[in-house]
Amino acid sequence: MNMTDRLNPLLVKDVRSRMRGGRSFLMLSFFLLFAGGISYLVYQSTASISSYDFAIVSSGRIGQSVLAALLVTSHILVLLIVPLLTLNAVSGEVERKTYDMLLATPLSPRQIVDGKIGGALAFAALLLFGVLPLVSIASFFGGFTLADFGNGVLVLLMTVICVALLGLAASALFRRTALAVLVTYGIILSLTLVHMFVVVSGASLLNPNHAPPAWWFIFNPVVAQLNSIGVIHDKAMLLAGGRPVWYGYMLFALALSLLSYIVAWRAVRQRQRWHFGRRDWLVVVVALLILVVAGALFAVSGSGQANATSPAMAKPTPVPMYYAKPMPTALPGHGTGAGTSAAVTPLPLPTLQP
Amino acid sequence: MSDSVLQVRHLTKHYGKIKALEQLDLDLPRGSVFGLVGPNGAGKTTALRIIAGVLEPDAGEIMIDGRLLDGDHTYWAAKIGYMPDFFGVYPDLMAWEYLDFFARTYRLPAVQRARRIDELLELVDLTEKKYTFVQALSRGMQQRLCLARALVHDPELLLLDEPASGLDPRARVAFRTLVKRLQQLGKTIFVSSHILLELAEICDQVAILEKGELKAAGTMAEIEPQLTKQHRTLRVRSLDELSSLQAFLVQQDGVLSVRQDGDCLEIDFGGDEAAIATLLQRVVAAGFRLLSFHEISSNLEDLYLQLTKGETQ
Ligand SMILES: Nc1ncnc2c1ncn2[C@@H]1O[C@H](COP(=O)(O)OP(=O)(O)OP(=O)(O)O)[C@@H](O)[C@H]1O
Ligand SMILES: [Mg+2]
Repeated sequence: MNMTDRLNPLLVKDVRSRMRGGRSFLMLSFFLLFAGGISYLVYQSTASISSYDFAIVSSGRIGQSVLAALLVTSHILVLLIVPLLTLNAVSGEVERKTYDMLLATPLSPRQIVDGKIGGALAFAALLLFGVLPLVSIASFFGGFTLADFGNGVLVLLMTVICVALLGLAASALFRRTALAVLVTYGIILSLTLVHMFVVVSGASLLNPNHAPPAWWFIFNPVVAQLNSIGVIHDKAMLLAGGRPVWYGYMLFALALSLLSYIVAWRAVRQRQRWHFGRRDWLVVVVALLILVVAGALFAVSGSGQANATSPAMAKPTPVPMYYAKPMPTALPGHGTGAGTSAAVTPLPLPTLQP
Repeated sequence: MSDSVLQVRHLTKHYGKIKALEQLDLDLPRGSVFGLVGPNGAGKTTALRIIAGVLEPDAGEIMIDGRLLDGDHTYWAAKIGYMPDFFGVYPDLMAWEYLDFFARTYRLPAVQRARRIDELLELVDLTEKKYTFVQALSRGMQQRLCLARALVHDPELLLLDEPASGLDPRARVAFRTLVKRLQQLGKTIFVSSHILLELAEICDQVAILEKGELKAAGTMAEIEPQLTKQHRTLRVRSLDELSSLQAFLVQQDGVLSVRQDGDCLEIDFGGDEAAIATLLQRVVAAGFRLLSFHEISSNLEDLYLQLTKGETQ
C-alpha cells in the first residue's frame, strides 16, 4: 500500500507536474521578492518618519506597518496569481485535448473539482509559506498581536480559496481560458478597484457629510485585510452590532466560494450539466448548511458588543501604538478632512497614550 | 441474437443544422474487431465520444453488456477504454507518471499499478521511454502511450478513434499486430478510420458512415455487394457525338453522373444488373451507335470512395 494511494489522482499529478516547470519557480521567486521588497520599502519610510517620535512608539508602528505591507502585498499578489493556478484547469484540458480522456475515467465531477482545487491550493500554500519568515521579522518590532496576525492570515486564506474556486468555476463554465481570464479578473477588479471607486464616489453623491455605511466595505478583500489586522478599524468600519467589517467579508467570500464550487462541480461535466439528481441536492444542502453555520457564527460574534467597539480595540496592545496620527489607509478620500466628517471620529484611546 | 458487447440504437446527434449522427444502429459482437469507416465529418468521432460517455446524444440508447448508459459512470468507465482522435498529453510528466495518473483514477493499488505500467509500456514498445517526459515523445510515441493508457484498467471494450493516423508504416504493421493480440486476449475493439482497406485487414465487420448515416454494415464479404449495388462505373464508346450521348445519359434513371474520358464516357451508376440492361436498351433505342458498353470492375476502395463523396454538409 502506497501512502499516496488515497490521495486524489489529480492532486498527485498536479503536484508532480507543477513543481517541475520553471514557471512555478519563477512565480515563487517573484512572489517573495515582491512581497519582501514592498515590505522593506514600507519599513524604510515608516522608520524614517517615526525617527522623530519616541523609539518605543515608532517600533510598534514599524511592526504594524510592515505586517500590513506584507499582508496587503501578499493579498494583492494572491488576487493576481492564484486565479492563474485554476483558470486553465478545465479549459486548458479542453484546449489541449486531454479532457475527453479525463472524463472517460471513473473520476466523479466532485473528484475532478476537488483534485484541481487541491493542486492549486497546495501550490498557493507554498507561496504563502515563503512569506512567513518575513512576518517573523515584522514581529520583532511588535505593534501587533498574535490574534491580529491570525485574523490577517485568515482573511488572506479565505481570499486564496475564493479566487481559486472562482477561477476554476469560470474555467469549467466557459471552457475557454481567455474568456475565463476575462471574467475572473473582471470580478476581482470589480471587488477591489472598481469597488473603491464606486464607494468613494457613491458616498459623496448620496451624502457628502457622512461616511458610507460599513457594509459597503464587506466586498473588498483589501479593505478586509487591513481591517483584520487593526490598521483601519475606526467606527466607520464597524457593522451593526460592532462587528468589524472583515467578519462581513469572510461571510461574503465564503458565500462566493461555495457558489463557485457548485458552479464548477456542475460545469466540469459534459453530460447533464445542470440536471440535479437526488444525491446532487445533498451537495447543495451541505453548502447551504456551511453558510448557515457561518452566518450563525457571525450573528453570535456581535452579541454583547452592541456599543460599537470592535474586539480588536477591546484587547490590550502589547507594544503601545501611536494612534494620534492615523495610519495611512488604503481608502483614498476617506479618513481625510477629520473634524468635518462624523465618520472619522478619532479612535478610542488605547491603554497607553503617548 | 448473437452476443453483443455494445448495442447502439437510434443514436442521433445534431449540431444546429448539421446532422452529425442520424438514427445510428450498431451491434458489436463480443470479441470482434469492428471498423467504423467514413470520410471527414461523417460522424465517427461523434459516435465514439457518445459511446465513451463524454458527449450527450440528442436521442438514442447505448447499452454495454445489456446495461444502459446512464448515471452509473463508474461502471461505464471500467468497461470502456477510449482513445480519442485528437489527444493531448499532460506536459511535465514522465511516460510512466502519465500512465500512473490514469491507473490511479481506477484505484489500482501501488504494486499492481507499477506492474501494469511496465506491462503496458512493453506492449506498446515504449519501455525505453519510461522516464522520458511526454512532451519529448514523438507524435507516434504519444499515440502509442495513449493507447496504453486506454488499456490501463484492462477494459472489455476498446474505442479507438483513428488510432493509426499518425503512425509510420512500420508502426502501422505493429499496430495491426497489436490489435490482433488484444482480440486474442478477448477484447472487443471498435476502431474508426478514413480508409476502408486499412480496416479490411484487421476487422471482422465494418460499418460505413456518411453524413451521420449508415451506408452499409457487415462483414467485408457482405459489404462488397452492398457497395456495388449502390455504385458502379460503366464505360461507353460510341461513333456519335459524345456530348449529345452525355446529355441523353444524364437524364436516365440510375445515372448519377457522366464524365468524358478520352474517347469514352464514364457513367457513375447506382443500380443492379437489370438496371444496367435497361439503360443499354434505352441508349440503343434512342438511336445511338455504340461501340462498347461495359462495367469497369472497381476495387473496394474505389467503391467506397465513390459512395462517400466526402461532401460536407
Ligand atoms: N462541437 C461541435 N460543434 C459543431 N459541430 C460539430 C462539433 N463536433 C462535430 N461537429 C460536426 O459534426 C459532424 C461530424 O463530425 P465528426 O467529428 O464526428 O466527424 P468524423 O467522422 O470524426 O470526421 P474526421 O474524419 O474528420 O475525424 C461534422 O460535420 C462536424 O462539423
Ligand atoms: Mg474524427
